[in-house]
Amino acid sequence: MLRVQLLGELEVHVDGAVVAPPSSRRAWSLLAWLALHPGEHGRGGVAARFWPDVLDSSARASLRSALWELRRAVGADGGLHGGRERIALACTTDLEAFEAHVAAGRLEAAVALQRGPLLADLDDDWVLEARDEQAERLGSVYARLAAAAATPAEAAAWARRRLTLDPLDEEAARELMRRLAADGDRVGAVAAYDRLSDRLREGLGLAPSAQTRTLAATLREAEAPGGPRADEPPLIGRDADLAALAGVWEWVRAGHGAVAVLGGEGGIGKTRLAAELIARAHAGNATVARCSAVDLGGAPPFAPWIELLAALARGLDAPPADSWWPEELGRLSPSLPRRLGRPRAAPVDVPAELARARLFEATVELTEHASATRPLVLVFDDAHLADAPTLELAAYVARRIAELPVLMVLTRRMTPRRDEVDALTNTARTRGVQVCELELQPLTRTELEALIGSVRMLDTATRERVIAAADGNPLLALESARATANGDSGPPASLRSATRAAIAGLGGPARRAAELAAVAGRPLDRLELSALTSPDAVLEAMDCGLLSSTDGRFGFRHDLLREAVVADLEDTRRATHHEALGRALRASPAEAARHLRRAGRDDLAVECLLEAAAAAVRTTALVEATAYLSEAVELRPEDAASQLELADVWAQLGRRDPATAARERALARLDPLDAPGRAAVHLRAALWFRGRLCDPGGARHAAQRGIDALDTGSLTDPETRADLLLIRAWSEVTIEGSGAAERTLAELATLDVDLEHPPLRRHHLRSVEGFTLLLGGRTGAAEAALVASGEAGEAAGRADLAYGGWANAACLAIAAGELHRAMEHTARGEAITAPFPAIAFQMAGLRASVLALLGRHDDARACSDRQAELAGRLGSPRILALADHDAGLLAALAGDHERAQACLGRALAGEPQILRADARLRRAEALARTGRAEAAEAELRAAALEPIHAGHRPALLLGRMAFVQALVARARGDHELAQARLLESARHWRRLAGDDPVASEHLASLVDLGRPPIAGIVDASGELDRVAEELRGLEALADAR
Amino acid sequence: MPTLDDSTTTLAPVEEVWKLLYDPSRMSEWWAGIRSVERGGRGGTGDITLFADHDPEFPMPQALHADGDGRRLTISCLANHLVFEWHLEVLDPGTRIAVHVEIPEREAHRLDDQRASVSASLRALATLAAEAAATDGPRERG
Repeated sequence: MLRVQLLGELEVHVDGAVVAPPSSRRAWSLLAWLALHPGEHGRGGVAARFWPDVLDSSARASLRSALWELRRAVGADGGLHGGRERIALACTTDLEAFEAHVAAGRLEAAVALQRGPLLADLDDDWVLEARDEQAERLGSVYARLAAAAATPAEAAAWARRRLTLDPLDEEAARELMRRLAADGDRVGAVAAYDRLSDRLREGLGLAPSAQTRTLAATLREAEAPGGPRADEPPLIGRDADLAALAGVWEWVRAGHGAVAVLGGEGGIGKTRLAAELIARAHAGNATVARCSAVDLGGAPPFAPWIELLAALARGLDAPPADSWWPEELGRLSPSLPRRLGRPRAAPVDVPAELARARLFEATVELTEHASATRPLVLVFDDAHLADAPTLELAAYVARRIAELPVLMVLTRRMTPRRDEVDALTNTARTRGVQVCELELQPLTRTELEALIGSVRMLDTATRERVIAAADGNPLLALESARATANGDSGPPASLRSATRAAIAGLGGPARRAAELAAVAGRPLDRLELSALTSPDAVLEAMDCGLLSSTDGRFGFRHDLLREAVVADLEDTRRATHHEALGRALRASPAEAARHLRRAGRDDLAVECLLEAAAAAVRTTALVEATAYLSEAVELRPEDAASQLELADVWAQLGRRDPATAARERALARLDPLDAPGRAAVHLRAALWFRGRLCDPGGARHAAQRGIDALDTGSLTDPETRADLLLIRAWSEVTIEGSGAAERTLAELATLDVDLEHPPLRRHHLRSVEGFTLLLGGRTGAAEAALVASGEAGEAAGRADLAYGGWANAACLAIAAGELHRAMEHTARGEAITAPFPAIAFQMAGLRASVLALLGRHDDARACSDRQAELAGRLGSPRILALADHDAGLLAALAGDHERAQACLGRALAGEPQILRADARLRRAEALARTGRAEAAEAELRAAALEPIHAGHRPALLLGRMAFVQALVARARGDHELAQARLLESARHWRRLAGDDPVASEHLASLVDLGRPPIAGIVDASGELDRVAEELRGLEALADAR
Repeated sequence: MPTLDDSTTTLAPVEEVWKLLYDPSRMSEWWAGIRSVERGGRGGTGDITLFADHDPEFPMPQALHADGDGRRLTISCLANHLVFEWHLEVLDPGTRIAVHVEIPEREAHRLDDQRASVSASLRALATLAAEAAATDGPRERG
């Protein structure tokens, strides 16, 4: 048994005996990395991580050699497992035990395991990052221990231990100050502040943040907390706005969700007003997390959320052990799951559109978790600058907070116009979330006088000039007043001249530090600063009055000031700063790329753009990824790999034309004799066509081109050939019928390939077999194959593929009249799709229909409600309309015609992917059955004008149309005509009664509507029964007369 | 490629025309020169097969599909490659029936015959639909 101790210096034990480190330091580090990242890892990725500066083949060779050394150190049975492509280390670690203790609430036992900083004897970059994260987690455990301490003295002791982890951590310092004060040691608390202040000045050239200074002032003067901050002017002229926000805050404290949007021009006081709200929230024991958008075209997707969630995760209790969402947040930032105590697992592997929904759900779950015991405030500063995915996620969360004590605050300028913000508030409102939109107005002359008077004593003439220049803008007034009071002859003509005057007084390095902070477009943290400038320069820059520091981040007091400094920079100097930032901010490749391009360093920007694209794909921001890749391709058009990456992302977005065009460009750049390379490109294309693009014709063409490439190069490569043949078989069964597919499957069987492994291949094989059997009329065997495809999809960890297997199997069971077996299949499908609203939605619809067919209409209704709830989460009007459509069909089956016509009416008002003519006829039937003959007739007339596509089988509509005409005639009391229409309908159904529509309808539904037939395949003999029942009803009526 | 367009109106509501147009089993009742219709194509192609009066043994497989917005029924003859595109429009009262025909070059010499045949078919379809509606009409409001 291999045991690895990571908390402190690295120690390795095999069966209790200490293992001596191998001679290679890299091999020892590799072992630590594998222990810290359990599970299987691709050799290529690990090799690239540890040997990044050499060719892939050399890196793999170095990896082999390191693994050989490690095996020698830990023994052949020491837990190191390696295959051709993947490696893993089976071991236990003290970090794992630490996490288990934390999760179980055994906090003291957890901290007792910490022998020192994580991997204290290693200094690789990844170690430093992991060490910081562990320190953060440990700090959070100390904070929890302090909060739970029996006495104030004990609490102070825990707080002190927390601060020792990072003596520059202002939040930890503030906690110690508060704990000491609570213990009656006000002097000790102020001394703790003084020590922090010294350390920040000496170490980083920063002053403590306003929040910390305010706390110190409070302790010194014993003032009540929550008063005006030390360096902020009082809030003047905003009483009405503040009253409105106070109302919103009370609503949130009572347990409800709200969104507050603070709009207005730059400098009008949005941030100041938000600060006031935050102060109240803090006083009300709320959790507050804040983020701001970066003022840099092409900023990284989700950057504000990453900042926000990292801040939030720091102070949270550990999530419940069975929660799935922490891992998913790793898509946004790999460190987030670690911060939440989940360093182990990776997000599940599913296509991007499902991954995005799951990521969004995970964020909602985090929001629920964070607001479980106290109110939560999420602040998005400068939402007008936010990237589209950030606002999309914000809207998704906003829709779900109606019953949570969560306040989402967005500050925005009115230009550039961002319709996404308006859409967010509109949707939130419709979901019962209180929305407060304030557009801050310029201050009146009296208010400006009061504001200026509160910060500077100016003579009357100067004050008048300042007021006139400010034009109601408080920031302009304050900056003018400040500049004037600092010795300028009069108020500056503009903010730009005010900032120029302030900057002019700085020495060279300090001026450069200030300008870098301006050009960066956001506050810089201490690691970033250390790569750019010196602490002394930062310290001096602070003296100009334009800059401030908050929790170790250095930036401008207001974005308008920053913008003014940037606008005043000479082009060459600005470009120099962009290049410095581009080189220093490599941890954020999208930002680095943007800076490098602005510096004119396209040669350096390309790699950053490719990295940014990879990161964007990981976060599911595919549109943004295409933008980065398109830029990279433009800068380096000869690179086939980048073109192919771009093609891949377009395909994931469902954009066939640009994907195909990029693929062709990639092929044109490949050597015509590079048969393996060309086959690989065609295989990738064939995979898109089978997957996201769902284009059997395209799949067949691409697969055949791949096979031809292999043949041209006389390559056997059975693995690639097998994958290509499988895709060709899939397209053949979809387009041509079973014959061609059977021949391809036979060819596949001749290859020297294990078709049962991996499970992904098994899934696809069983699917093709299932459909081939179905087309051959062997529905029982087809169902069994589709069950096996569902199981293989599960084994592959692909919920989306497993869903297909279970849903198709359930439909075939329904068609066979085996409703209980259909229930079993849908249960399996429900279990695997539960975390993915988009496919869980489809599964719920299918299950509801099985329940309805079983006559369990109450259960069906519950399932239908669940489907509607999932549609609400997804928020797309098309999905909502689809849920209404399915609910309408179920209501009709249950005999609830009023609900049926209402639901179908709503569905038809939208644009769901349904058979519209059929939906209209079903609604017309419901209307006729509730006695509304005119409305029913109008609906059936409208049905005749709906689009009819190939798979819609107009023959079914003929029977249904005549049937509805009969019901209309009966509703009008014309029984003779009703009888004639029923006989006409019966003629149509009788003609179809001999058909076996299962295969054709099933495939038509999959191809046309993208899902199996939800309410079951139309059964002509069942329809004939319905006609007969109506005829009997008419006869009974006639007899009664 | 020669084309021809023709249209007519009928007092029949659109659903009556629709039922006739989309029911291949009734095509021989209104399509001029067509004697009978079989479901399914011959030789594995097409959706239906038509047999003409002048050569009742010769199968003419037809493909039925929707074009454009799906509101036009296209009937393509896989034997002579004539394409008929049918379109319905609601009037108050009644329905306008329009047809657009594309004739391959090698059939161009039959343009006049086709024009006459299409015109006759249109009018027969309109009449048939009107008869169906008239049969129902008086009682409907009764």
